[in-house]
Amino acid sequence: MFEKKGGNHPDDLLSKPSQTHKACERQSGNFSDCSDRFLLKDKTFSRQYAHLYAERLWEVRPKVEASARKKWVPYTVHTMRLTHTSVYIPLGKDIVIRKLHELKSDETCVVIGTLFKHMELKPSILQEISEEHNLMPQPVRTKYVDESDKLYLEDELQRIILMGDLDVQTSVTGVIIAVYGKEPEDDQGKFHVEKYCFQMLSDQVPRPVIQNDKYLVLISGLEIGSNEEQIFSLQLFVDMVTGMLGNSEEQSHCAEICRVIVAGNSLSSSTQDKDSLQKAKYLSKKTAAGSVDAVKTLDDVFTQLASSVDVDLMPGEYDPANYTLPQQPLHKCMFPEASRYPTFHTVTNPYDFKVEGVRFLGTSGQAVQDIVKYSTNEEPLDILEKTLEWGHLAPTAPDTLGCYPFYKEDPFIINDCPHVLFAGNMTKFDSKVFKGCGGQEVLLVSVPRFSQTSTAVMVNLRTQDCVPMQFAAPSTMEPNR
Amino acid sequence: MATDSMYLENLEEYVNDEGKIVTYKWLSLNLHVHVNEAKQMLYTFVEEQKKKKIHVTATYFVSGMCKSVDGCQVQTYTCTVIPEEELETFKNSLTTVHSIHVYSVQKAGLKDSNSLYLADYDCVKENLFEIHKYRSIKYEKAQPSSEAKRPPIKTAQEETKVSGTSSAASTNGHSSSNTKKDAKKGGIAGMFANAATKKADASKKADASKKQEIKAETNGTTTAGKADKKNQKDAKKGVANFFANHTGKKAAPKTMEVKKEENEEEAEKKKDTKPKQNGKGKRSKQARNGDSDEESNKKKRRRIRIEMSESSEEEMDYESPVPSPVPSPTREPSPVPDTPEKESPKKQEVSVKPSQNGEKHRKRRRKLVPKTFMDEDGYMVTEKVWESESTDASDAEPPPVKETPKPSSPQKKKKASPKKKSPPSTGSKKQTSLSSFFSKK
Repeated sequence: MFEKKGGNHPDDLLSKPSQTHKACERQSGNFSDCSDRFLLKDKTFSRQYAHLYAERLWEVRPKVEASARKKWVPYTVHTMRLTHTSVYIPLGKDIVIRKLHELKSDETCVVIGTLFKHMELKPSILQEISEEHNLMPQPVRTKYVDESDKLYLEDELQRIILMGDLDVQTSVTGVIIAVYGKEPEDDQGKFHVEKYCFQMLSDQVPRPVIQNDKYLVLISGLEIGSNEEQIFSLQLFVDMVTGMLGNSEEQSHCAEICRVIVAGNSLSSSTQDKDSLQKAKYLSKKTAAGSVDAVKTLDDVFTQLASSVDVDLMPGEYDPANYTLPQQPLHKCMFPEASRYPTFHTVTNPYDFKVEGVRFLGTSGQAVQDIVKYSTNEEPLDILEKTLEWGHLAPTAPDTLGCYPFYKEDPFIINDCPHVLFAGNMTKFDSKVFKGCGGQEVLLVSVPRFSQTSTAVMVNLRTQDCVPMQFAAPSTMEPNR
Repeated sequence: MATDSMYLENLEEYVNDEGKIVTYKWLSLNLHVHVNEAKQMLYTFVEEQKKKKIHVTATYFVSGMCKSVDGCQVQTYTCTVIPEEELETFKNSLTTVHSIHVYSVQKAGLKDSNSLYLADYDCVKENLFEIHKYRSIKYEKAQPSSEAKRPPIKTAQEETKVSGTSSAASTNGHSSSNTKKDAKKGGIAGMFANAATKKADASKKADASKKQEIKAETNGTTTAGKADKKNQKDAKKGVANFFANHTGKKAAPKTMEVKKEENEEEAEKKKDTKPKQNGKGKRSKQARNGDSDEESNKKKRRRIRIEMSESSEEEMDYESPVPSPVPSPTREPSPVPDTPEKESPKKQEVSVKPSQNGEKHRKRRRKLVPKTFMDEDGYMVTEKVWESESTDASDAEPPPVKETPKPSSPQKKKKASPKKKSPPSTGSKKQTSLSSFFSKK
């Protein structure tokens, strides 16, 4: 990635001062924002979530149907008597797609509906407050999966239990699925699944060829305000990107960074101190919220960054933004100094945008973490791959992930195939290129938490390569490590 | 090149004598040189010191590609700051080295990275908007907008940070002096500062007039704010009146004209609000008057001090007092009810007219005005009557003359009563607690 240009002298700054220091121009990429669907136009919470599910089913069903028709061509098996070879003869007619209420016993057909995973350990508010159970509130666990989880298929009117090849443990609620199988006569009420499929990933708009190297930096989990905040490493990062560190060659390399995306959790969870809500007002009158100082620090950091490069700030789980997805952009009044620069933007979570023709789609990681909790999937990249296959950014919303009750739309459905899919606040850096069945190539990136790893991610827009950037002061200089 | 010879000595002074941690950033900002040049300067300094056998430690910034950091399979682009001793070992651990340069120079060894961070923290904070000049990368799109465009909602603290407008400075100075002296009135000072900022942003005129206006407004609104804290909304103007009374009476020559303006407006204000106050009921009105009277006395004294000190602090711009025809939208002309103010309204009537003409709106208001008259039986009767008033100069005169004798008597009575009331209440509280302690035995 770092091709050595001719005459690379790493030591050239270990010399006598000279007056000649060239300044390079920052590259700016053609940027267009596609996140309009994540901005809430009206905020009415008096609706039920049923509309969201209905809309999801309504929108995705035709695509799943098309995908099913393409994949499953009905056939009969004809065994030749003499040679004992099996011949698969296509029946020349389409597969039968049925609604649940039209199911006939022992008829192999396709049913399309929403997947529902029944989990015993899933926290339920009704159980908690139910008096007959007299249950203690459930402890918070890292995973709510259990051996006894069952999968149901639900369409508008009915639901049915799914048995068979479908892996219960790795599935999650909320995915629109087409299942091919039959309801046996002797085991009514259950659907035996032979095959299944999801929405097909739409064709990718091909990436334009970019002449020069241009980079986009992803960073997340700054977590200012906690004890573990890496303020020095963050300062190194800022100095690097703004072209203060390194020799002139390195600085000209950093000038190729055209955008910095901060993918959530810029404040730490310790700033979300809810204790002050419990205390009496007169006791906590003089105490300022923990987030005030943290936001001031962040303002300084972003001012330095914004004076040199375009910065997009996404809200995360611990940031002072709304809890439900999609999170709305943080208010600019929180960053009075940084807002003076037109290069500083606050954006939604999830965030969808295009730079130099490369389509990016990403979240601050809440959807991925929720899927980790409610299924046996562990690797963030696996989960990102699954979300692409399922065609939905956050299938567990609104079941276990907080979501706004949309009415006529579901903005999390992945309609346009992105070139890069990223999730912030993951435990470690990882990247993979996912190849879709339609020839799509999507770069999946898991952006680690900066407070834990001091690592940011540099994505090359020309080659779709991904390099982690680590900033560290080594062990002898680390405070209390 | 002249800086070259000087910098070595400067560096020596900073590092050896003052014991500072000199980072390249700090050096670049202080000597106004490019960052790369600063790094080179630090390097030559280190070399010189080594030759002279003087002990200084340096930290180096190294960047390069490193394999498998934290179990990562790919090449990681690593950037670290390390002390001199570890430089060679670290260089060897990297597959390729991109750049090395001096990060900082200090006398003694560093314990942790926090001290490095703090070394240039203050410097960076002060020069937040100039730091881009010394960098290698210029971004033309990143132009900060001017101070004026910033959202007008600011706190007093934010104002101290802003080095921009003089109005900010003056209001800040004013508010800070206020807060210093009026320790009790912290809340009011806050409101005062807020109101001041709003007005500061709204009015963008020449320094002198700006300062004047702001002063006038803030004076008015301070008292306004104060009254709010104490009493109902209507009292706002009433208290402002008392304040204006004081200032009209005892104003220093420099601030006389400023206060005259205030009084002009407040004269009108009081005329309007006084009937309003009375409308609320005798007792409450009297209590309010009594209270605000005490307050105004104290305020008067405090105000003088502040005004005097401020006039000495501020520059002599006040000598060019622009009558400021449109001081502020919130200021409504009001009548002056108090006895000491009898002369001042009459004086200011003349000056009211020109300012009045400046104001575009004359308000016609219906006021519930208590009218006192002699009954057929010889009793003095006070009745509440709706009277329409317009903010006319001619109307302004008669009511204050009529009303001033009236409130003077009830005021005196009410002055005594709240005073009487307050000590027994507080005293009784204390006494009850004490006696209860004793009675248990």
